[in-house]
Amino acid sequence: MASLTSTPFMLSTSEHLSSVSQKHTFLSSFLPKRQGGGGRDGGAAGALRVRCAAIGNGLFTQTKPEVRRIVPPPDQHRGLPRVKVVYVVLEAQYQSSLSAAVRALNADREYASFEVVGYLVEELRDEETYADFCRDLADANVFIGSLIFVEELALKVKAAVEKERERMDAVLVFPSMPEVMRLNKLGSFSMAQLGQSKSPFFQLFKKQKQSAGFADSMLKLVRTLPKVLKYLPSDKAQDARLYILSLQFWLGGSPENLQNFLKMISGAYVPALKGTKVPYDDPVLFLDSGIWHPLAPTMYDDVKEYLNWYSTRRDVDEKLRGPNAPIIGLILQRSHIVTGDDSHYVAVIMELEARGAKVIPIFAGGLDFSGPTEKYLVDPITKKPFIHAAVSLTGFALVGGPARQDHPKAIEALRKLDVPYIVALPLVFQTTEEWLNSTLGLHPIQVALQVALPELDGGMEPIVFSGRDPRTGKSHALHKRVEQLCTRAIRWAELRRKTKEEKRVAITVFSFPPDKGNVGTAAYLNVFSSIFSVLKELKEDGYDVEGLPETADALIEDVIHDKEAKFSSPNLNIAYKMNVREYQKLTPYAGALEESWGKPPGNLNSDGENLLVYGKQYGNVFIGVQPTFGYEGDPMRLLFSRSASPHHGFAAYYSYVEKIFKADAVLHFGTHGSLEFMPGKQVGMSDVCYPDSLIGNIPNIYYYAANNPSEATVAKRRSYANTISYLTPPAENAGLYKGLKQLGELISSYQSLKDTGRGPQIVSSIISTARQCNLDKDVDLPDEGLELKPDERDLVVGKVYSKIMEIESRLLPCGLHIIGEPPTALEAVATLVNIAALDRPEENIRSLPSILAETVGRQIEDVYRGSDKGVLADVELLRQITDASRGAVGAFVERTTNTKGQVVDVTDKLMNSMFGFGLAEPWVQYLSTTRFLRADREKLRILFAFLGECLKLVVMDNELGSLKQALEGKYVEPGPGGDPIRNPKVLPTGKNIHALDPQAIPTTAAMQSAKVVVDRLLERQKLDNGGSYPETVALVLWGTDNIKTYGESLAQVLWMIGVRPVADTFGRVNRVEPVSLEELGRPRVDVVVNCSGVFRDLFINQMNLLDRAVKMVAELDEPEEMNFVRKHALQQAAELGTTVRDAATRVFSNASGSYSSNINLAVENSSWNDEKQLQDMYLSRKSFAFDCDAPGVGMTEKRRVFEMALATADATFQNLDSSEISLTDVSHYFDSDPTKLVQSLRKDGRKPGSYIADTTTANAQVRTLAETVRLDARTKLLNPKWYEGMLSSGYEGVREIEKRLTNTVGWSATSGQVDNFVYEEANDTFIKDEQMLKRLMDTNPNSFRKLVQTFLEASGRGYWETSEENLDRLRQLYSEVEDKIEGIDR
Amino acid sequence: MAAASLQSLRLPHQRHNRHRHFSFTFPSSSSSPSLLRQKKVFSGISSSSSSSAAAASVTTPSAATPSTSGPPSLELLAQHLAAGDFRQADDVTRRLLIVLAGEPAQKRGYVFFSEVQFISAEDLQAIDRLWGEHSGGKYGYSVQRRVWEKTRRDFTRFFVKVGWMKKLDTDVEQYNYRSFPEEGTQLLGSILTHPAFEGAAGEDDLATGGGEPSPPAKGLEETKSAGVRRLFKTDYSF
Repeated sequence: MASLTSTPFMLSTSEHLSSVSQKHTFLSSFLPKRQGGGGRDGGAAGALRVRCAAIGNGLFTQTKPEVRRIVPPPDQHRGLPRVKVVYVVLEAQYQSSLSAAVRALNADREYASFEVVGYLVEELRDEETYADFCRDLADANVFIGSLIFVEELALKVKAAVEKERERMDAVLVFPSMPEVMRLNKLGSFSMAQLGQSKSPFFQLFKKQKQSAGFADSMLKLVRTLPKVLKYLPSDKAQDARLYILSLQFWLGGSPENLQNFLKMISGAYVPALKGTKVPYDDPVLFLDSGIWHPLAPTMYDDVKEYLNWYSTRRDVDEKLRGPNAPIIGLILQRSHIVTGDDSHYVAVIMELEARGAKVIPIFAGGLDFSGPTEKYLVDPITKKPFIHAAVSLTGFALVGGPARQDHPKAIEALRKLDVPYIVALPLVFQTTEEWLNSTLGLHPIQVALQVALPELDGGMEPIVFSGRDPRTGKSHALHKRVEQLCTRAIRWAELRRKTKEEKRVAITVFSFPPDKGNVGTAAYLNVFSSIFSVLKELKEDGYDVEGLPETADALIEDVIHDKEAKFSSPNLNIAYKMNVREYQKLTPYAGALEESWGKPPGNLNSDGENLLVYGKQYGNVFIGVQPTFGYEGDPMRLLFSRSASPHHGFAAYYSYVEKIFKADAVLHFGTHGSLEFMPGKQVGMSDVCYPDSLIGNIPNIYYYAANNPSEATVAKRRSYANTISYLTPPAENAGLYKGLKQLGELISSYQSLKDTGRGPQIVSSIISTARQCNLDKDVDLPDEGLELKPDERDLVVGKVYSKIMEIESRLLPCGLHIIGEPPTALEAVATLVNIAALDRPEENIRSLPSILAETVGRQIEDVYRGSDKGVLADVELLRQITDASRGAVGAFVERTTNTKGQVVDVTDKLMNSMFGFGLAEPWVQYLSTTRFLRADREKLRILFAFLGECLKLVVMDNELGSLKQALEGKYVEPGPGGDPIRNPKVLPTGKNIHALDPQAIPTTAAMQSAKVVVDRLLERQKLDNGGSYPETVALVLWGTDNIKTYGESLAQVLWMIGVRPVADTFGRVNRVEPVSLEELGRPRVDVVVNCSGVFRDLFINQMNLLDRAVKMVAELDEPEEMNFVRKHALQQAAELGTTVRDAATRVFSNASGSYSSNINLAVENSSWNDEKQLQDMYLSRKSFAFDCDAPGVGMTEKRRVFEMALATADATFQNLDSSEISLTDVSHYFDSDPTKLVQSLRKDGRKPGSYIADTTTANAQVRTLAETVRLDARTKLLNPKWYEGMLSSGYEGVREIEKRLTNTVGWSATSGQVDNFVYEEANDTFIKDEQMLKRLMDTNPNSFRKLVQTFLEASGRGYWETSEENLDRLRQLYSEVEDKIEGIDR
Repeated sequence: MAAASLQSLRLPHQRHNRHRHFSFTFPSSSSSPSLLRQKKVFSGISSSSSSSAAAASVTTPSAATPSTSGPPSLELLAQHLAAGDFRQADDVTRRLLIVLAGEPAQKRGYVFFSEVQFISAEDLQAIDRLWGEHSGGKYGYSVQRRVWEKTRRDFTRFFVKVGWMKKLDTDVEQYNYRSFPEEGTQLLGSILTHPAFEGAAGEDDLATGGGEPSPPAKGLEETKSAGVRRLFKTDYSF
């Protein structure tokens, strides 16, 4: 097993002895630690070293059950019967209490001597430990299990216990998965029938099927015990009674209760003790829920009593007792309190009180905290919360714990509470040292259970506040983390207490890449107009925004000071100069940055003496510019930047915001900044992780595009942000322009005149126009002048028609969104049409195209197919359906809109009246004028009712409202991020965006659509590959894509290799099984999976699942020609001299804490020499594999296998998931494209096919990359509708145009799939058109300069062949704009 | 919450048995001397009658020797210190503090940070003095206070300096605890900021500015390490 460093818990070496001795520095002692030893060891390898913190067995958990084994002293064996107890628990809090109980029993030397051994569920992953477990069970008398909810491990427990169940004297399983619960056995009492029996007793258990309240129904069972027992036969009643008592003892948790528990069970069921009377006390019951304070004489069931007691405390000063102290509600797990494993809770309470905050610590024994939260933290009369912020220390979702969650119920409770809600984490599956050593940070299972799920409740700030002592299993405070958690909680609470006027807000904008033309970059957002609109609103609301300019333009002018100066010059408005001394004083981690950046101030954001903070202050509002990574232009750092830290200027910015400006909150403005991508653990950061240090104590509010839940989640987890979603701009259909428009007209005249004898002539015009439009790349056009038969003519026209329809109906977001300006209803029509185009079987909603197609006796799928093939009649029918859809939706929207285009009346009333009078329904009226007049009215009614709801949500403006709530320290309701077209629940925006339960994907529906796409892809590739299947497909997994589609691309990988996911009782996917070759009907296709860094952060469990799937397939005994995974793995194993299992490594990503291949940065900054360099970047940064056999090791570099696997690829493949983000909109897609790389690695040097799946519309397509790039260029960069839309946003608009061109060059560089005409036409549009040129230059000269430079670069690198004349003009323009910029500088 | 005075400590305390019991049943408390880690007893649990001698089991090889028994008192502390048995002295100090903090702290089994103010300066200084006298001025709260001030009251740097945290072998500079300050740092902070040690705060002000404290007398450190090495078995928390 991979093992690089020694297990830290094994103490055999002399080195350890010395460390043990050193530790004996006592409470009152002081023994300065000797420095020496060379400080940072191995400094030579320095920043470029890649180390994997692999320890022991390669798993996350290195602890062994031996620390939980208690053997009675030898002398005790004589005479006393021996009782052996084996227990398995999720968390370790029972360990110390149970150990204490057993020691006490053994000390008594009565009745029996006890041997006990305990296992943590997570430890059972280790083969050896599992074998020990089975051995332990072989002579055990009693088995106890609790909270076993991880399926793989539950099955292992079940298998082991089942074997011994008959023989064992008692088997007790407390809340766990049903599979394990069924093992329960106490005399005649059994739960083998769990979930099936009709008896009222079992009915209680059955409830868990429907609700989250599984544990709660058990608690209820305990309470209703007498009633339940009445229904049971008397012999069973006794056993059932003992089971209930057992549960009470267990939930009671104290050593004393556990002693009595063991006495009771042994006395009643261990045969050797039959006849011996073993007396035991009844369980000492504690409150199920209540308020607990370490100093309080008792637990309280009434908050008033608690507060009364609090006000009489003499140990705290008046300030803390008085009315002005911030009050923090704490949510605690009862089991930690009753078992006495509560040090970490006490630490938080002390820390908060010492910092001047009052606490109300509440606890509950069940898994549903919504009731107690409301009962103890909300005033029943005024309905106002008693607290200013809530912190859950349980780590669990508010309702359901590790079992079945009920998020709506949690949200309901939290809405009533209406305060910031923080969910901090205790380490559960890792010890302190394991967590510190891990580059992943928190154990992935814990991330899924205790980070991802609480986020769905609106939980924030996943700060690990307590560690675990490997020996006692006890929790202990991590003192710095507790400090961080408590200060942050108090800062949030302060937002609730402070007045608006005194609140200080730091708005942070981004500048990426670092160029003055880019200040205020954020996807789809007009940043300065949005800030302006936010500030206006805040001012009206009572915030101090002294001196805010009159217009957004003036605001830009103020901040940028001189728009035309380059960013790195000090001409950006300097808000503060921080000298080095001050910087070092304010920035405790400044020293750590020197390894990468040398002594401060360095040369970034610096004038050589001081660090510079750029920005501008208005009253209590500061608008600042976030510095950039700082290595964008440095190819060596791009290649090896894994361990690079933020630079001094970056750190100084945040020190300024926190400690000099003293912000009460920072507002990061728009998608996405650099802070959250700084090095550190992925999730569950420690004191030395940069994002944690940078954000410091400031509450973080972050506007994020609603369609980017994955990066928003990274911001949420790594910068502790309350991510508030904003809408992407309303989409429009791309429409047709220039030659394409002519083509449309020609086609329509062909249709009316084709039989008149003018047909051939029109067709020949169509063909020549299509050629001018470069459609010959997409459609096989016959030579001009060639004689065509009528049906051949139809086919040619049909194909061209189909192509231009595809372009015409493409959705594109027009312009940029402005916060606080929701789209008008009319602007929402295109979005609604697309919402209407999807079938939603789960909601029983049929799509509009499908309803319309049925009207004329067709299935919409057939029409799509026909149209794709170019069948003229089908293309025409599809166009009619599309037109009718738009018309009907348009008519509907018009009815609900006033003259200004605003929605006035999508009220229920209007909807009802519309639906009340069939004839008045506007869509019916509209359709009656088309050929679809017989469309099914009922289906239409259901659909339009749904559309009405959607429309309401689209135009609702919650973005400003939510921001204000957040600034006032209120709860911001959570909501999923994603594509509003697929998932209208994304609307309205202004929600605290979250991803999804990572274990919920892929869903069955996603698997269905994945099959379709994979089949089409393989079909398509066979066509281009001489009829044979591709042996390997190299593909990319994206975080956002998988969130939006519920795991479609994940499912695609599974389907390529021929496996299917298997869900457990709770619907979580943790297993896969192979699909038989017969069922698959083709060979298993090998894959090389490149996961984005964000996917890795969000879905590490799914990477694990994929790796298991690949390895499973490689090990199947199947012929090589039917199993390419096996075929390649065998070859690679032979070549590498390793096992097939090891060779079958196909799941790659970046190293932990690192993102992207950096090709994007290199391209954006033109800082690369040749393509080889880009390919090296890709290989060096993306070759980190995840190994399901050693998950604890994290990401390990496996470049050799990566290269070998890529060398077998016949095709590369990516998914497009939403219409707003297409290939050239963002740099991510080309950043991860390996097409040319594969070519260079393949032995035959052949270029692989490259494909893009487009599932953005109802008619899913697989296109070649070249086709997609062309489509993208035609609908965006070259489309007047698009660029005019962008230019209407001014400054930002020019940048958007330039960005598309730069990204196009990126595609040339990585794939070579960009046609010359794209550059040529872009040049015609933006450079040759003098008027356009002038507009660009005047609006944003910096971006314009970059545009010109990019054209020259495209030519220089050989991606664009053009006339010397064009190039001369560009060169001339470049020097003109340089002069202009410099001239203004002077 | 009247704090007990040292006078009352000379009498055996009736609660004492409980603490002892817990020292034995929670192995961590007996085998890993810690910075002010006060073992606590959940207030809802009634006292157990088990005898301490029998409570030792094979998994707690380092369970305390009988010498811990006996009520905590300055005399007992002085005895252990005089014998150079710092570990026992540490344990006695912990128990002394609990008693000094008053009845509720004794019930609970640990001191809450806000109770420290009720402990008299004389009592704390008496303890500090004993430690100072028997360690050649190396150990004691006032010494700690000075180091802590030098680290600008940063507990991590303080822990590192006094050797309570050890450096890990990771890419970034990280430290793990040698023994866990289970309830955080507020309690220790309250003791160090107690008026009893006001005087210790400023003494070394000249030396601040990030410099390392002067190295200890080598001899003492090594003698002690050797002694400890023989006395105690491995501790699994490291």
